[in-house]
Amino acid sequence: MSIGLHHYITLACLLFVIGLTGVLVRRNTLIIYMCLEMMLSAATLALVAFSRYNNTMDGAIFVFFIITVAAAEVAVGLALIVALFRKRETVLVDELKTLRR
Amino acid sequence: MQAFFAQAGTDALTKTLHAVNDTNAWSSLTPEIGIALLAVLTLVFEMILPKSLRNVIPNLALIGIAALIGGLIPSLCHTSQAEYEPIFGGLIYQTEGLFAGVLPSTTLLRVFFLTAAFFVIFLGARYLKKRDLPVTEFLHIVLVVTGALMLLVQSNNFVMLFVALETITVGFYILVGYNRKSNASLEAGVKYLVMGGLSSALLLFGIVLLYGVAGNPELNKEIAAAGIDAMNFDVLKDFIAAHPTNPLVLAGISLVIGGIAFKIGAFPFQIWVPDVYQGAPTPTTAFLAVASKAAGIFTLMLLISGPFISLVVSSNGARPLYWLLAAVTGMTLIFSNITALGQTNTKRLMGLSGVSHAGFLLLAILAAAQPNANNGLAASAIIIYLIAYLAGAIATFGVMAEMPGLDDSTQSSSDYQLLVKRSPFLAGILGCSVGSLAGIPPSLGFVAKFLVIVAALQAQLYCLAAIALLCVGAGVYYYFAWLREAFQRTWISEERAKELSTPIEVSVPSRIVLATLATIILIGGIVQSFLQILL
Repeated sequence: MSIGLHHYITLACLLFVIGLTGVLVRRNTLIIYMCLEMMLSAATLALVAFSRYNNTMDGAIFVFFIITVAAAEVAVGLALIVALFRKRETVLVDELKTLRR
Repeated sequence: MQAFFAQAGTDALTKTLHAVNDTNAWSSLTPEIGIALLAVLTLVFEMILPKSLRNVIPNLALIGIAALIGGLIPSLCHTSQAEYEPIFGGLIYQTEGLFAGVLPSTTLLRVFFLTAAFFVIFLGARYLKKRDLPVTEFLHIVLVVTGALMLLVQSNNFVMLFVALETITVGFYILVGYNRKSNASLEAGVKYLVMGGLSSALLLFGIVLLYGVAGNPELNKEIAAAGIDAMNFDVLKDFIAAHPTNPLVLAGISLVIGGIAFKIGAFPFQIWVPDVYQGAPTPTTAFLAVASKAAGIFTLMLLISGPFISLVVSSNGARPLYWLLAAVTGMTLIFSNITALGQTNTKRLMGLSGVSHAGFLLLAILAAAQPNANNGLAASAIIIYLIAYLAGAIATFGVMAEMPGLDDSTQSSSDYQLLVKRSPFLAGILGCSVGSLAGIPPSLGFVAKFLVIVAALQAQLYCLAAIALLCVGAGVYYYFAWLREAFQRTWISEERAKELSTPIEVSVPSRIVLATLATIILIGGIVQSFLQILL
């Protein structure tokens, strides 16, 4: 059995859905953040597979932009989470209740 | 096969690079380059200037932005109906004058974002200094985000769009969580981070699906032959028009629209808005409300008048995206106004009513997308609405920042009791700006709401126009509950009266800026003839 485009896209969709579910159901900010990164990776995987199948390089180049952007996002995101942890000593979203009417 | 792929891929790559090189036009990006230089300069000055002189940095940034706006004025007055070509190998598409077809010109939008940045930097410098927070870093990030906003509205390719949008989003994560001493600010930062990250991922996956299906050599023969860029808006427009019912196209478009709806704060992605608006430092909230919302709205306009147009305007009557947007608009208007009704925290109120303003803008976009309607009127309505919202929201946030008390995330409308006695000036500004946001004549906000509803009626969106009218009524109710506290003498205890007896001092520059905004609001409402240049 050869591995074709469909396998890659199915895997990417699966990763994306796992990530999305994780963001929606998990309560730990760090794990939510990992799930967000997994969604980005799913998009990257699909992009590379499409790029290969379509025989155009644009997708493969776009991947580099995505990696750069994701790195910037992680730098800022982890800094925010660490700052919050220092202040509140928790990373659980259930306990982030300062902002209520 | 391996060798063939490498060969074809490299060929396409060289072709793309050649195309980019042949159509480079760096001079047309002068404002963006200028703002990037200004952003770097603020940091350089922070390092080289002695501490006593660092107060001038915000003023330098303001002068720089004013100069950039001045530099764009000639191209704003340029009225020739020339054909515009995409530059940078199809990455960027620029238009001059005030309007280009049904869209506001990119020059007008650049001026809009620069103006928003000007007021935000003005507010921010004072606000942060009062709270002993670093100012220069704030300026730097606001300037970088402004540059990205200006590039976003000129993008003609999904790569450009995604990178610009992410620069904005990452910048806003920092700005929202800027006050590291405050629980509320950090919490809002983390909430915005999770929500923003989720929306970026949705948008990205949508882009990937569209790229994959539009570049498919079996579906798109031209691509296979010429190797053109399947992320370009023009290529996607032709492809989507040819395959409007392809499931991958529909999935991709829904994900992209979902990602954009997050940025605008449209239903059902509006949950983050009240929390983030409440927790963020007030200047950030103003920037988020005005610039981020405008960026989302323009991106949506760009997409539905460009690549997605065949799902919005179609000859055979099947317009799935149109009905989706109509449903989103109606729900956004209804939901935001119902939740805003009982709100007393002023920043949450601004957040929820901001969602309602986004609903009005979506209504105008729908009217502009309707065939056979007066599209020009709808496009003008969007611009006038955004200008009215810029003036009204920034003046309101300016008054909020001037109020005593350092923790403004807990500011409620009862803190404004007797404001008319403590500072008649601030009360007057609040009256103008909140009145304009509510849409009361004679104010620019009234003209804007009026134009949107007229455009909606001309486009035969009767049901949505009726909902919008009801929402204006609801808006008057919750905005005036706030104004009543400021103006009307209500019964208060002796102690509270003593607490509220101290007058509020407002510095002269703040007075000038707030008075300018209030003048724009009133002149726009009274002397409507000068709005005709925008019609």
